[in-house]
Amino acid sequence: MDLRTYIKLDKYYKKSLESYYPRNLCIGAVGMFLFCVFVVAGAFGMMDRIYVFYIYAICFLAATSLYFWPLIEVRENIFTVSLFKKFRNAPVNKKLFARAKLILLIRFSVLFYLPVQIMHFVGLNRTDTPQLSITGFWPWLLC
Amino acid sequence: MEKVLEFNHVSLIWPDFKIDDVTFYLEKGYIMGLVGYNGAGKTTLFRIMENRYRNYTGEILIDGYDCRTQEARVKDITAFISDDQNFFFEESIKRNAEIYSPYYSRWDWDSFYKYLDLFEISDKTKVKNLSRGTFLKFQLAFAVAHHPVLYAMDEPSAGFDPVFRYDFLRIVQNIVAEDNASVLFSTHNTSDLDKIADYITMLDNGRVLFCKDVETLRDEYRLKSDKNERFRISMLFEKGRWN
Repeated sequence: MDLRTYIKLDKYYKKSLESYYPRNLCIGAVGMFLFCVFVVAGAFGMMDRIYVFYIYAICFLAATSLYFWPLIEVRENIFTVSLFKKFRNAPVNKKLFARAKLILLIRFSVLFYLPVQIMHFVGLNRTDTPQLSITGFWPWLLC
Repeated sequence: MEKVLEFNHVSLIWPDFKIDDVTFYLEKGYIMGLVGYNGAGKTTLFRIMENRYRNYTGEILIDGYDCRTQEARVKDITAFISDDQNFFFEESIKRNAEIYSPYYSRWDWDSFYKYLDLFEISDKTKVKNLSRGTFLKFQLAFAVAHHPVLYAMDEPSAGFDPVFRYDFLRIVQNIVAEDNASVLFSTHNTSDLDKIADYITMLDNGRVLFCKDVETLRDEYRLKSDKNERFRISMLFEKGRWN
């Protein structure tokens, strides 16, 4: 099996898990982002502060980790168990298995980052916060 | 002679226990019983085969593939059956099979359902709701479905009721006959081995005391014993006799 098959199997696995609903989690993450940025930050007048950037970064990390978590952990009662442990005796190529997950994480991060950037331009264009720039994250490096 | 399992000078040292130069082999189409007192190292040997402990010296070959360096290939052709196997406990049996089956090169849904039906297990049952015996039955159905060349079973029959234990032994014999597979079988119920084992490997304190075929053990017993008693594998546990 090649890397492409491993990625396909990972996606299939995630979608079909009864104990995990990726769509709900992603909607939740985007909702959380909107709530934090437009409601919390706006209501408290923090639009021009560095907090907005922190909220932005936290939402991004939360969304990606919510997406990534089921690819490395599986819920069992109230505990979580490593997925690598679940596949301990399955004939998987561990390197490809891990690499497939990493690729999915990167892909999701990029796909999540782009709409967030669009929202940034639409909703927060008038902010003076220097940390929220066209480059989004790490603006001090790229500006 | 085609060797399916080879332990070549396998050693593993811990502060309080060691596996000491374990060497034996199992041929294709035979059943080997792994016996020994508690703490003799039986489960440790299975765990070494599963690559849970990797820092051992020597080598273990399954169908010619090295357990340490060709792990994926080894796991494709080996079925590990024991109490502590990992599955998706929150998912149904069917979902578990769907998740794992694409990784096996010789997965056969017909065999899987044939054995689930035989064991009267519903594929909708969540794995966490299976009793110990049923969990082992499910593992056996799962194992048969990917047609391994070696079944490594650590205390499989301990969770079965007496009726199914008899059936289980018959099923194991059928699997060996049909698939020409081999079985490494550890148990304390030596009467099970009396019925099905071709070879016996006895462990003591992490060392192999002997690895002999049952016929040889029977002959040796006849020569040593003055009583006209039928040989049973439990007699191997009479201390001192075979050392």
